[in-house]
Amino acid sequence: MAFEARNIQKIFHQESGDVRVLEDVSVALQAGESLSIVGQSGVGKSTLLHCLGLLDTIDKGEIFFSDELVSRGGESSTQDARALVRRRSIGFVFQFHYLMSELTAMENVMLPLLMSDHSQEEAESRAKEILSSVGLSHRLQHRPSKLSGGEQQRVAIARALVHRPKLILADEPTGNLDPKTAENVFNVLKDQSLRLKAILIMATHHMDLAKNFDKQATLVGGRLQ
Amino acid sequence: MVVRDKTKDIAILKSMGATDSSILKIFFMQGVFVGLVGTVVGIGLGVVMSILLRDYVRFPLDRSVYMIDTLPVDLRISDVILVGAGAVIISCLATLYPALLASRVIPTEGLKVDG
Repeated sequence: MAFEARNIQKIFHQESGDVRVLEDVSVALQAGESLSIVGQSGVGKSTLLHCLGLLDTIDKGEIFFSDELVSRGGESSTQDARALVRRRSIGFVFQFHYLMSELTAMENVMLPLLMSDHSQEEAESRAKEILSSVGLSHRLQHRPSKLSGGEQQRVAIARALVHRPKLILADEPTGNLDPKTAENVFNVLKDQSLRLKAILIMATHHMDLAKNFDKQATLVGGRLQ
Repeated sequence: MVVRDKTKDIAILKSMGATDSSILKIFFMQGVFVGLVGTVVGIGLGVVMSILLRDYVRFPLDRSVYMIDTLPVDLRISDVILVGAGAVIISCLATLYPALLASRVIPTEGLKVDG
């Protein structure tokens, strides 16, 4: 599986004028490869990940999964098509865990599978398996409020990976954690993406973590260098 | 209110691949469920109150003003069905717009919402 983004352009149309956030950004990665993106706050790292993950529309350019064009303008008719690609092939990990507070760790992790019409039994079994693999087999029935910051983020990683995505997009997933927990969470994310042979793209402020990726890039002035 | 409180959850569900139509369905079904529960509870309480007023309590009225001694109660099954159906239809209609708003949450905007 290859992932390729060609000449991505993203413009925010504001009253004060257009802001070109991404300009001619291209990314090409093979299955199992990883890319770190560093850059100053507000430079557009999150926007780039949102665009690559089809969460946001692009103004120009194309995004391909295994040579299949998956990005098309902003027409509402294709919103569901993009949602289906996200459901099938993409996993997001954000800076904040964004777990659903009313659900247990296991129920949170089961969500992507239940949305993909997996049976309750299979969803439970796979959620247990991946939560165990991120070291949380003893926390299955705990709600997010009863988990530590590192545990919450590991549940979020399990949720992002449980449907075995081909592309994992992590937006500063360690940004809210202390250095030791950050390293632990990063290792979990890296190990799990390698296990799945998934492409991992991570935006981060941590230069030390960024060096552990197959490829590194810096976002400056809307362009990847 | 539910839609406003759940904006972030909607954004997360969309990031996991929930379609606009599935979000619409979730919120519509929730609204209809709340409407149905309210209607059933309301009808139950109304019927019980009507029977109590008709057969046991007999609410007194001033005959010199109303020309009758007690509040007349006539419990008709057709009225119960009509009011119940009306309440369900109104709750369905009242659910449609917020459900539509929920389905239109832009994930990247929803993720920025505090709370």
